[in-house]
Amino acid sequence: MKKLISLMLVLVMAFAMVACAQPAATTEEPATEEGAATEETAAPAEEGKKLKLGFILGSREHAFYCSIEDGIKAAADELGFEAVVLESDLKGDIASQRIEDLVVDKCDAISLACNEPAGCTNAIVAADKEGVPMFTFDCTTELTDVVKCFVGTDNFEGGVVGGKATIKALEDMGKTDGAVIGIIGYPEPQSCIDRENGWFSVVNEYKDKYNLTIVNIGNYKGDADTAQQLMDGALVEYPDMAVIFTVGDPACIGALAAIKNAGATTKMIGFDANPEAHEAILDPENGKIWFADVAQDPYTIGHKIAEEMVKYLTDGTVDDSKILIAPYLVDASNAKAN
Amino acid sequence: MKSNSFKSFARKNIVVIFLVILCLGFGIGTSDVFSTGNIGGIVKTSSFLSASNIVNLTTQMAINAMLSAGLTYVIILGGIDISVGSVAALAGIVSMLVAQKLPNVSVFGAILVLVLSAVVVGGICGTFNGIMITKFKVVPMITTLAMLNMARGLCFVLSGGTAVFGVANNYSWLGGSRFLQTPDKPTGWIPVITLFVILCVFIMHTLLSKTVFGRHVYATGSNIKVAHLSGINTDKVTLICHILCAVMAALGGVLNASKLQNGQPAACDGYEMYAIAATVLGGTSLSGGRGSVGRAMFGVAIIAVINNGMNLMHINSYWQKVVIGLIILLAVILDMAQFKKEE
Amino acid sequence: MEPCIQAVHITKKFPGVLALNDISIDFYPGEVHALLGENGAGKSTLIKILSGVYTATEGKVILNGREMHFQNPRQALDAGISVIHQELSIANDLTVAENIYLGAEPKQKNGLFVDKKKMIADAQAVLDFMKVNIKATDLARDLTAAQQQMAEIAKIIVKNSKVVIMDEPTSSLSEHEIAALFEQIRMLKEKNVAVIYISHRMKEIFEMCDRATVLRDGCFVSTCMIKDVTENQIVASMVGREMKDYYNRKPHTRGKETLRVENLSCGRHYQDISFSAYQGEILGISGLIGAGRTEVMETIFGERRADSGKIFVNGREVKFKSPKDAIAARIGMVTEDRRRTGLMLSAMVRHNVVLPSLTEHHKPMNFLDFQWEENVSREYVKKLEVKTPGIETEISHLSGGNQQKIILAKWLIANSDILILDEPTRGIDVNAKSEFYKLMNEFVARGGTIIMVSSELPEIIGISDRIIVMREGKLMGELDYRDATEENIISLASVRSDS
Repeated sequence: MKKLISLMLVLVMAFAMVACAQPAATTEEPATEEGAATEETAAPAEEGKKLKLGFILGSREHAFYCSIEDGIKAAADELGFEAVVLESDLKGDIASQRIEDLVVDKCDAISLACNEPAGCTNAIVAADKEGVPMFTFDCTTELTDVVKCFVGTDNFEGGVVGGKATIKALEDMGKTDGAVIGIIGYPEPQSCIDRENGWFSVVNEYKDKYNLTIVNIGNYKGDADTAQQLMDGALVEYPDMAVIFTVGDPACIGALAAIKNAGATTKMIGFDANPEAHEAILDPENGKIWFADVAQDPYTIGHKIAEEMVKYLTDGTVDDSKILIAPYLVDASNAKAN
Repeated sequence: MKSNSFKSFARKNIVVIFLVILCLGFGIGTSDVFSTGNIGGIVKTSSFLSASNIVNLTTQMAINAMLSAGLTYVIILGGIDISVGSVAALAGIVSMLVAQKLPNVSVFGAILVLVLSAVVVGGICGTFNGIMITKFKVVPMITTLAMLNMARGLCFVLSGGTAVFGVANNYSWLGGSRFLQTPDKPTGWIPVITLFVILCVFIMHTLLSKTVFGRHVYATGSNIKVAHLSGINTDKVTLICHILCAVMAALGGVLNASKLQNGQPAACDGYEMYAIAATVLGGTSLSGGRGSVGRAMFGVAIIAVINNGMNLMHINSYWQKVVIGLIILLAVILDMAQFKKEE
Repeated sequence: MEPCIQAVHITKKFPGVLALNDISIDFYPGEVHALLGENGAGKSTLIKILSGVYTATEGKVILNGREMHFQNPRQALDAGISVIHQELSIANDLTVAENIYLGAEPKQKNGLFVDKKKMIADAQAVLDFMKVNIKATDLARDLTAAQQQMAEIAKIIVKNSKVVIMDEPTSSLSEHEIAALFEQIRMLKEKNVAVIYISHRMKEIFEMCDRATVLRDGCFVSTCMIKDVTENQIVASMVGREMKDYYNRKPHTRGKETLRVENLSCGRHYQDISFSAYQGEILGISGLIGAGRTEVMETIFGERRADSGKIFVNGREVKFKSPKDAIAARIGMVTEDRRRTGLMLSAMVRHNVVLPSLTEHHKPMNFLDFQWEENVSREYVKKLEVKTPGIETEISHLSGGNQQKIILAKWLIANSDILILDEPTRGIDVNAKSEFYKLMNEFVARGGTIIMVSSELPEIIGISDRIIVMREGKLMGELDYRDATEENIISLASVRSDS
């Protein structure tokens, strides 16, 4: 009896996988039938074939990458290519495997978010050798020069925007002498390191002028809970902390809770401008603390990288090897409610 | 009688059958048969069954193959080692740190550095696990849980939390290069890593199935008391098994580091679960005394095929997690079904 | 007076064995009734039927005039039949009060929560009534074995049991503690409880019991008033069976000394043991369970360390660190518990049978010699007439006797010169026993030495050349098989009233 049950389980699973693959395949490419029809009538000429482009996101768990995907999908509809979108779970070795998979899948070009540049560079070089042009978005690798084009946020510039907003907030509050400001960082992904450096480049200039105390609150590791613990500690030491900047929105969520718990008047600038940031900024209570956020433009990033890939495959050129989409500040004036 | 013998064949080779079904399913799923209706073109158009994908598959399962081959020994003993992923990462970090110090080495020298780092790191971790289990009688789950955390912590300590990279190209020969370059496959057809893994797995399989030591491992796993009373130094056997397991994990880790040409402190995170699932899928009983390295490789192949095939079919990676979860469950049900039979 | 519990024409059959044959006994309230017999006479089967562990094949159990049909021990317990086992079943991490009221905790008025205060107060009242120095709030873990037994008796009082079965209750108690236990038994008697008392110690029987029933080979022998009989009469009725000649006794020629043990001691297990064993003889070691026989054998085999004393093999002193060393000195051991310590149950016959020999017999580089393994397995399966479908059969599929032959083959293949057999024929049927004895005789005839521990008196008298008797960790005497009778072995092995 047991034997039969286990055998049936295996069969059911095998079929389930084949079956669940089908709707995914058809919904993702609504234009397939058309393409197939033309192929049947006309000779399967190389030129007539639709482009197939591969994309590797960091992780769909982040709204940021989902927006990039939206941009890619929109570009796919406008420009008429087939988009295959995978994820690397933010890991270099998995990104490498995904690159291999996309090469096998006969993608004409591949772009990826190089969250761990060192971990996937070899795979990028190998794919390039096999004749698949490689692109990067969001994060890139400096370890090879085969990447045709990178589209991303100027994270350093984003940090600068955050830094300027920090100083402006101090000026608005009139705390231009001896204020305490802080930063919650995440010095592991390159993007966050750049943001941190950008912020420091601004506030360090004002350090002497305004007699600032600049506190590095710590590494929140992308985790809101950790951010809250860090902020709890920081507020015990500096109860009058005036403004903080964080390199990612999850840190703001944690820090917001800590600030409220402590009853402090600290103001806060986040990074990413995820929907929850917009909501908080518009909220009458939370908006007093979380008053601004540095927004990236992931939709444009996704759209732009797709455009560049198509351009390269048709003309053989790209607009520029490095295209940075400028971040901008979101505050009560331009925040959008859901 | 005939259906009975088919049933027993199916029972014994259920993983093989499952693997074949999976391959067929993915072969069809990734071909253009749904859009063209051309059944004859399945093999030709299937990206899953393409030669370069098969080559990719062998490299994608390489690390798990190393981990599972070692883990098979420990599970046959009736123990468990959940630290293999962390030990692999630690070995990767250490080997890349050594490699940074020694930039001017030949390919042979690089292999030596990688393998020796693995043997040293794996040896130390395995000995620690083994001594805790045999001398201090700490249960394997707890011992290796401690090792999982210690090794992972050391990864971050040694690397300062960031990737260790910038090593000479010769270090990526073992994990990254391929033989037999052709015009349509300029990177080559035969990955060195695959050959290396086949060699290691062959040695581990032979050691377990053809030597006195291997028989002692089975005996210790079936009934440690009987093994002891039959003159087997069961502590020594346990210790050696844990060392073998950790060294294989460490070798897997340096292969991974060599392939990526850098050491990631967070590398191989969660790989122990894949390794355990593969080993159990391959018919190794969690209650000990039964199993085989060779068959564990079928389990490794199943997991790699599912991952690869689902990517090629563009299935969302959330679904992949669901399927891997089901596979682990299936593995345990199979294990219990075998156990039941003995009652 | 009406009997409190009655066994009426009880017969119990196990596959191939008639464990109890038409047993009828009446037990009266306020009486301590001894149940006597050798190991295997059927005492434990009978109490298991009375306490609901087994159901009888034929016959019935009558409690206070009503026929009972117990499906499990719980029902028997609820009907008022308690058992105090040799190994106490106390929950170590609970308090004494919680143990006493386990499964019958007093509830608070709302019927949901345990009324802890009442429980502790009631338990303490019982303990005080018993005049024992135990606090109801003590953890069971912190009590001595004797105190734990007292807690079990308190449980019986609380349950208001009408029948109490005590299976060797004194085996782990000191003289002083036994006296305290007897106090409690007298108290139970006063409360009109029927006590069924099982013990090997004649002294206790005569001190404590009112009547005794003797069982032998599953049959009822007699019931008598203790005050009317002598110790020797009881012993005679326990062992008085005719000897069956299935031991294949052959004259052995005693050769040189192969094993000598001098003044071996190991803590409380055994003290000052000295004996010798010779080529071509079977040395029997008799005694009650717990006399330290197995521990001595384990020490010789390197499985247990002695505190002092020496062991000589073939005239040379040896110090075995583990069984590995003993095996290298050509000693083999067939352990008491076949399933737990004798076999890899899920492994094939061939893998079991060659296990100890592999370190000596292999190809270069430690590779297994599969051809040799197959040949030698087939050879011994044939030689020992093991009934098995093949050498690749899982050993768990074999019968007990055939499994035991495989274990013997294991040591024959390992070229053992000295074989230690600990209860080698336990749980195997008469035919298999007889075949096993034949193999033992053959081994000795080829110049081997056998040391056999056995609790079965007919067996040890039937097969041994010499018999040494142990009692409570001490060597009590040595008998030649021609002088040995069950009476004189028992008198050496039992704790006598005059000792």
